[in-house]
Amino acid sequence: MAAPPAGSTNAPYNYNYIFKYIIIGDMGVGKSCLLHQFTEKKFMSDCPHTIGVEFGTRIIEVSGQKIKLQIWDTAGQERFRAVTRSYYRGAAGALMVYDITRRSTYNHLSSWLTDAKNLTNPNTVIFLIGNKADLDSQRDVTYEEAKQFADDNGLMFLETSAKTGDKVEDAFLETARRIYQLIQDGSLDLNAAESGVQHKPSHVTRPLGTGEQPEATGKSCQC
Amino acid sequence: MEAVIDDYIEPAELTLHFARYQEEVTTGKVGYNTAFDYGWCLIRSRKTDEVMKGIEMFKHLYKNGQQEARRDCLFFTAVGYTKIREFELALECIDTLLKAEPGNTQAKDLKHVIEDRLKKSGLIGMGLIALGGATVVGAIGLVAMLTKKK
Repeated sequence: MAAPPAGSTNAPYNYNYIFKYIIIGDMGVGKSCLLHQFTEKKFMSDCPHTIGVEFGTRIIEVSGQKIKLQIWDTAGQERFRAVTRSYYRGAAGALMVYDITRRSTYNHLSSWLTDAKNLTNPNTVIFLIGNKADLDSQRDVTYEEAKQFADDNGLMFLETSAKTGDKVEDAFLETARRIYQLIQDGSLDLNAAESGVQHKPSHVTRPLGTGEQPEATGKSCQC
Repeated sequence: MEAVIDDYIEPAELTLHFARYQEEVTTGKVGYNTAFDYGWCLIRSRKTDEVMKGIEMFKHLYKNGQQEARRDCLFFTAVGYTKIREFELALECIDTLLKAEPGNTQAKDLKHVIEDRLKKSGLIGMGLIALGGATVVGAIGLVAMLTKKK
């Protein structure tokens, strides 16, 4: 990493905050494609199933503050579930994804929600995403039904399309706005170890919950 | 991908999975998922011997486990080898995986990281050799100078 110019302690960092996100949900709902669309602005067809976890980053701006999102994309396959749970810890945002054309993926939401609530902290922002909104003719879950579920459980909600990119930015950005709002009104304690938020990192930049490798690249998203 | 390789597990989490695994070992029947989970946790350890244990676990699961999970075993074995800096062995695993799934971007990314680290470790090695050589030449020169003075 380049040495900071004299007189500026924050110089190596072009962001003010780091937020940790996780993406969860059944296999094949498009979690990795959402991440890829968000970090690379591209859709990848023929995504193989994610092996274990993937990671991606992107710097966004909320209320004039630069925020680096560190996003852990978990494999949806059942056999990975016991271990992917360990990635929930310290997440400031959780994107919980289902596929609007497959009701089974919607029916499993309560189980994903239980995990998300039990394994994160009470201030973690949980955002429900109904993906594959471009396949409206094959729709198996109505917008109204999912919206009701989201309201009942205090979740934010959007339908997205990782394929066209529709509302993908909004889902990631609205989650960050909500987290930032929680910081502003004091409900999110920045000093709590598991808040999932770091403010103006000083010294070493490293992904939350990981080792000492500095500055993971943004291109590691897998689709 | 770098973040995935350099991600470390909380020791408590590893202990938990070890206990689950050990319990099944004592009953004589270790479930595939239990072994898989424990192996993955071992790969994420900071300790080389535990990572090596994880590698052995995935090699065993590759040979004796579910056919559809073989790609995962190869991937984690490669991650383990990368962690303990056995880059040639890591490349072997990832190439086997890529032969079966040439389009797997996760595997391609991992291969890129392995090659990058291999190159860096090679450069460091060459640097050390060069430094060693320079020291020897310097020492000989010094000895020669001292001898001449005499």
